[in-house]
Amino acid sequence: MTATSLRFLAFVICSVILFLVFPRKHRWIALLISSVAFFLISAKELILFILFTSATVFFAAGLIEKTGKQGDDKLKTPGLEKEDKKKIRKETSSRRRLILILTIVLNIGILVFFKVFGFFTAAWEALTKLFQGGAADVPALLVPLGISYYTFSATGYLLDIYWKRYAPEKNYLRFLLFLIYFPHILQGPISRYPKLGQELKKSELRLTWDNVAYGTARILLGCFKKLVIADRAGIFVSDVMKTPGLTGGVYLAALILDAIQIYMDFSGYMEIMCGVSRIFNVELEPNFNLPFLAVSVPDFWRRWHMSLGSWFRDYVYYPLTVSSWNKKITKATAKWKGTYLKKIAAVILPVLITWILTGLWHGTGPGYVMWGVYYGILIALSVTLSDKVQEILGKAHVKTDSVWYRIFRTVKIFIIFMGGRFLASSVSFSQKGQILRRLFTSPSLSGLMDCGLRTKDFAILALGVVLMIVMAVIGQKEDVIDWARKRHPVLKSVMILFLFFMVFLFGIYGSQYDATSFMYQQF
Amino acid sequence: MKEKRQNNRKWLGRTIFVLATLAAAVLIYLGLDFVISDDTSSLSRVTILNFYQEESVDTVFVGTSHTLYCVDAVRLTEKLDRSVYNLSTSGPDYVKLYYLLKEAVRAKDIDTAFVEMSISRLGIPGTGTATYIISDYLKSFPNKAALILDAEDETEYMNGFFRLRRNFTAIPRISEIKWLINKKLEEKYILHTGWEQYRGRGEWYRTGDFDRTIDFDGTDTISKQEIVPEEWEYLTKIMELCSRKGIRLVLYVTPYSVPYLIQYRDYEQIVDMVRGLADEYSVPFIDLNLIRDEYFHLEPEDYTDFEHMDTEVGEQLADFLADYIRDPDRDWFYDSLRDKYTDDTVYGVGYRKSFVTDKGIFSKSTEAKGTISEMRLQIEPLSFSSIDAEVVLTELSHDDTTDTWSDVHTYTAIQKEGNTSSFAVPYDPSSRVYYRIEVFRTGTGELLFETESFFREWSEDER
Repeated sequence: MTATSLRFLAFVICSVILFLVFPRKHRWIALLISSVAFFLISAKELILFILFTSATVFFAAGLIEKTGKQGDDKLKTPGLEKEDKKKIRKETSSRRRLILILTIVLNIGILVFFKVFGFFTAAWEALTKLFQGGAADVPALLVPLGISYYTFSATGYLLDIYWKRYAPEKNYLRFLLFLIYFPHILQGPISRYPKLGQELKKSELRLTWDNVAYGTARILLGCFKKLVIADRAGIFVSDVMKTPGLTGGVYLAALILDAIQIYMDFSGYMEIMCGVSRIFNVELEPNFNLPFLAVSVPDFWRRWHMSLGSWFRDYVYYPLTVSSWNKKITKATAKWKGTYLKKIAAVILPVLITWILTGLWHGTGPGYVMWGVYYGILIALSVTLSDKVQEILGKAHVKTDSVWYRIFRTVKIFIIFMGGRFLASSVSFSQKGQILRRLFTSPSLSGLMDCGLRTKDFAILALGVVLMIVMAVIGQKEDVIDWARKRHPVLKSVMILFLFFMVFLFGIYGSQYDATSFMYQQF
Repeated sequence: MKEKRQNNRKWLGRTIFVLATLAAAVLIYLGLDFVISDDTSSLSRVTILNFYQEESVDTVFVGTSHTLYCVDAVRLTEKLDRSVYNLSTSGPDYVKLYYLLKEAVRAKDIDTAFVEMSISRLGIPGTGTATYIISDYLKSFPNKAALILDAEDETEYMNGFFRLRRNFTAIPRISEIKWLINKKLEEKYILHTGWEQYRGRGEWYRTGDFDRTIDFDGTDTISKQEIVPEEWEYLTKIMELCSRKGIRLVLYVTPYSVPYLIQYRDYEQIVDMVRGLADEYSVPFIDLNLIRDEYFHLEPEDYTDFEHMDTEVGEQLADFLADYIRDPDRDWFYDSLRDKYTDDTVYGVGYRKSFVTDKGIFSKSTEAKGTISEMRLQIEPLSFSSIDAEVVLTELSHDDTTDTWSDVHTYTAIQKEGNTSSFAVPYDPSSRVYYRIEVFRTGTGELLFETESFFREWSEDER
């Protein structure tokens, strides 16, 4: 059930009705019922996995807290020696760590199993094809819905409990709702318990005019991004990428549209789901913040898929930087104090490990590893050299707050993003080499109109992109929907009708086009 | 109190805003639909809307284009003193036939229904086009919705319910919009293309010349094994609907050209299957291909193509149908095609094309690897009896000034398997090539069949 299907629309309407039937204090139960129903409708056989994760993590969190409290109680025993107290602290710490590690390994292990199964299946089929003349039949494995997202949410929660950031949830059903909440189960955001958990615990979940109006507007905006821009661009991109021998200009157009497609697809989905959630008076954490207006590559990743980036930062990168082996490296490179090598040495390994893992979260092919290394190196260099770059720009009297410099920065970020997408794409290495060669040797756009889109489609894409740029400019100062809602009613009506008819008339769902499902759903 | 008044005013404002926006959306949709959706050339629009306009209809024919062009409902109404209507459209499968009949039963007081058995449709999933040409004009929204939801894939629902989406394929020019508005505001909103004309009561006029050659790869024929369960299910639903409503139902097969019947190997087996199902529901099943010659006889020139009867002979067929309706128990039909066609007449020829390159022989030019050096034509005489015959293929040229034909070259068969002869001819998709095909009895040289001039139409993939 994709977010732009009529079935999903019908599902949301039924969920709202169920929501209204329940008394305000217990409407979280209505959301739980809807979320379980959503999971069962989408993938009923696989619900056991999320139930397993929720149960093990809930139980482990309780046990970790209980073990810690027992240790604290023992320490309060009068007449304890210093050595005894040290022993108790060590034992408590070990037990808590053991529970944490076992639970994380179990759940992350399930995630890793599903991630690598596809990789090994493809490798096995390739080997059997090579040596036996025909690919062996390997049964396909259904991947549990949203496993990457809910596993990370659950793991983050458990680590927070272990680090004593807050008390664990006492009600299992509330914890299950936090994980299975249907607007975020498919493609995130990867929620943090203090945020989403508390939102779902609001004393009264109400249906208000403001929330319904805001939510509906966001859903409409999301449908525009996904159906009008992303799916249209996707037709061209998939056609070009499977066709060898095209001109460099056409490949360049495909790379540009590929970057636009992934952004519009993912952010469009987020708009829809945040809109749906807002109708229920539950705020989801934002996942995008005008990423192409970033000032640097690290800043880009603080604006793109924010929940994933912050998760890896808090639960992988920071722990790595303060780990004992990284401290050893920092100590060993002390003699390079004041040099760039010293700066790089302090961050390079944590950054590379974090980004390789981020790449593997997206996929298990070599392309994703290269993608991780690519961004790891760029980020490490950016962090290390940012002061030097500012110094050079200052000496060259470059006005970094001018419009032209901002445009240059956006284009630079966009090109870097395109490069990363190209590295991770499923196109073969030889095809990638050919495309790169043609970019420089054959720049013409001949054949542009033979790749699935007509002039009208390019015009619609251009209009869509211009609209998004205008929204981004407005969005720098305030939320674009809040801005729109403050306009004169006639203008508001015109904007709604414009978006609605663009989606209605030009949305890609129908016989002529092959609408792709959301790209981040595979995770 | 003041707060309450303010609150009420706020809600009033919001309600007005929502209603005004919705109203504007509806008006814009209707306006755009009027200036962009071109249904001025739609036969089914006229057929279906005319049906609603009829004061009463008690007998309805529901079928495909086979029925659309050959059942003269005007003549049947006169002859039977009943109100007969031909509610047929182009290309529907049984899902659509079911809903078309259901709508007819809802809208009028039908007591008799004739439903066409388009045999090949049992194996071919319906096309999207066929759904829209019916669903767009159904007045009953539940039937319309059920038809779209049953007949279409989920991705087609938007296109099914909102025709503006389907029609908005390009930004229209002003001149196109003006033309369409004028056409729609004309009093007679009816199709006239020269050779298709509305006869009234759902029948459309169509005539042409069938040269009695059949492209084996161009006809829809299915084997028993290819029957789609969903089509069979809806065929059963048609019978259940009529049984429930107390409607007298007759299933029929329209007359096909004899060459088509000969080359359709599983035809009688499938007809027998349908007859068996009809017997279960005590529904009469009549194969109009088996009408005894003394009651109704068609010549080869009475067809526009291999499967459509010429509207010119629709009156004759209507006379027969009127007689049948008055006296259904009479012995009107042969038992089988072999009982009807007992001699060794060659009724036509069937042919198949293949394309030769240095990489091999391919059945489609678009799939051929390498450069096509020649085309092979496999030609088979079509007869109900086995005969020993020779085929002669002669290329013709036409002089436009004198309007005469002359022979260019006579080809010798490069291969003969049974009665099928293969000829190697030049491949040139840019030009039209005319042939004469003659079939001679081996030994005696008796001419068994001859095309007058056979223009072997280039298929789309060869253009």
